[in-house]
Amino acid sequence: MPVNSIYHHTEDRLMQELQWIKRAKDDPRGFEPLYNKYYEQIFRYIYQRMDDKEMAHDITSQVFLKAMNNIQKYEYRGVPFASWLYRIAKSELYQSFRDEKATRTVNVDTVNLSEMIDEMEENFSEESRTALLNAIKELAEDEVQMIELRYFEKRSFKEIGDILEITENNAKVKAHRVIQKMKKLFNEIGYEK
Amino acid sequence: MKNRKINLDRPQVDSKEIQAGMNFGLVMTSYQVMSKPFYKSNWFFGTAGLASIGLIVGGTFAFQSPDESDKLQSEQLLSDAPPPEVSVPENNLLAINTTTAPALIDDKTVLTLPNLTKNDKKITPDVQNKIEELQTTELVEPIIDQPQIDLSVEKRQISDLDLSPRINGKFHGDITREDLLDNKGITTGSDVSIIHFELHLIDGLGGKVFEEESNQLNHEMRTALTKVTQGETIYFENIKGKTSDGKEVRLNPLRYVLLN
Repeated sequence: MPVNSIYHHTEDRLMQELQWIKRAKDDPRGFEPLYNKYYEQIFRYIYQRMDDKEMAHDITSQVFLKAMNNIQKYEYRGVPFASWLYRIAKSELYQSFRDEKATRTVNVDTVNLSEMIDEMEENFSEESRTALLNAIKELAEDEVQMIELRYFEKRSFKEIGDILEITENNAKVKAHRVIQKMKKLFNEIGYEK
Repeated sequence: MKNRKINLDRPQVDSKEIQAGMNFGLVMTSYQVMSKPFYKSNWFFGTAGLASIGLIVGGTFAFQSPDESDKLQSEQLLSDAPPPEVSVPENNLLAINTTTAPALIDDKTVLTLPNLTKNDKKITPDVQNKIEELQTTELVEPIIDQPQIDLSVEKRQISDLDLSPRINGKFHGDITREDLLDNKGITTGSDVSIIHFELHLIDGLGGKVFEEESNQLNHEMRTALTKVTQGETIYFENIKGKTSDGKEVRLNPLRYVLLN
């Protein structure tokens, strides 16, 4: 399964990033390299969960503003800087849903759906695709998050754990449970609709 | 959050399009606005300066006599010299007291009578009768035009200011833990009662949001605040209040830095 290549740093890149963070702590203008590096990632994470491009840009800017305001609190404890940004992004994103500024959207592409159907040991067809979409509608929000991170965005369990503030093993267990629930819904509700 | 929308095969956004939306300068400007203390900002200096000038000018005018009649009045009150003789038309006489205190006639004319006696040769019988009549008259308060103040404007300004939420009287800036945990919670200076707010805490591992449907910090919030250390920023956002007529209003967010 492919993993997010941007997420896994080499030692050199990690050290460079830590230097940027140190510089940003001393002078807020030093935050620019981090902004340039992570803007696209954070934007894609946000836009993947909503349907308004302008709003996604606004929320992304808000994420970086909060990160700049709180950069002094960031300490490297093995959790990459990107995960810290993702957590802030998640918080800002759900805030916008609560404020009804944006609508929660799940963006699915057919390729990812077929892979998911394979993992559920079902045959891919137009009917099974519709059934799977109906099953996604029935999932709870944390379950949808897991599906998005694991199957639509292809993130590693380590990264999912960092973003959702759970352990890697816990992320694996939760992903497995969601797939089991999907299977059940797929057979029970999916074909009925 | 089950009212979610599902998009199938939505076109991917191009990297160039995303980069076109990047604007670090704007984020930096917002950062500077947020991080600069209010007393160092230009608008504060401007407002404070204008208010000071207004006070000085207003004070100068307030303590200065506006016209000559007031000057004359002051001089007569302070001087021991006999007052000038003034002819008093009967129909214009409003009030005269029994001593040398001045009385107001017409709009502007001030009449002062000396302590007259019946033996005074200059007084004619008509005037004498008038004096006798007036000597028995109770002192009437001089009629002074009160400056008209538009109270409605002043009242409205106070009302706007009082809509701002606060904790223990603080609107923003530094706050002690005791003030923050004050059991009065978030209040306003008006009759708006807080019905909802969110506490945003950002620690080294990300952001957390707590919600409350009253003006008081709940147990979960208080527990989370015990972990916040000195110098950290605390955000209160999405503050909603209800006016006495039941209308729901959204109030300004609060931002504090913990002092201890």
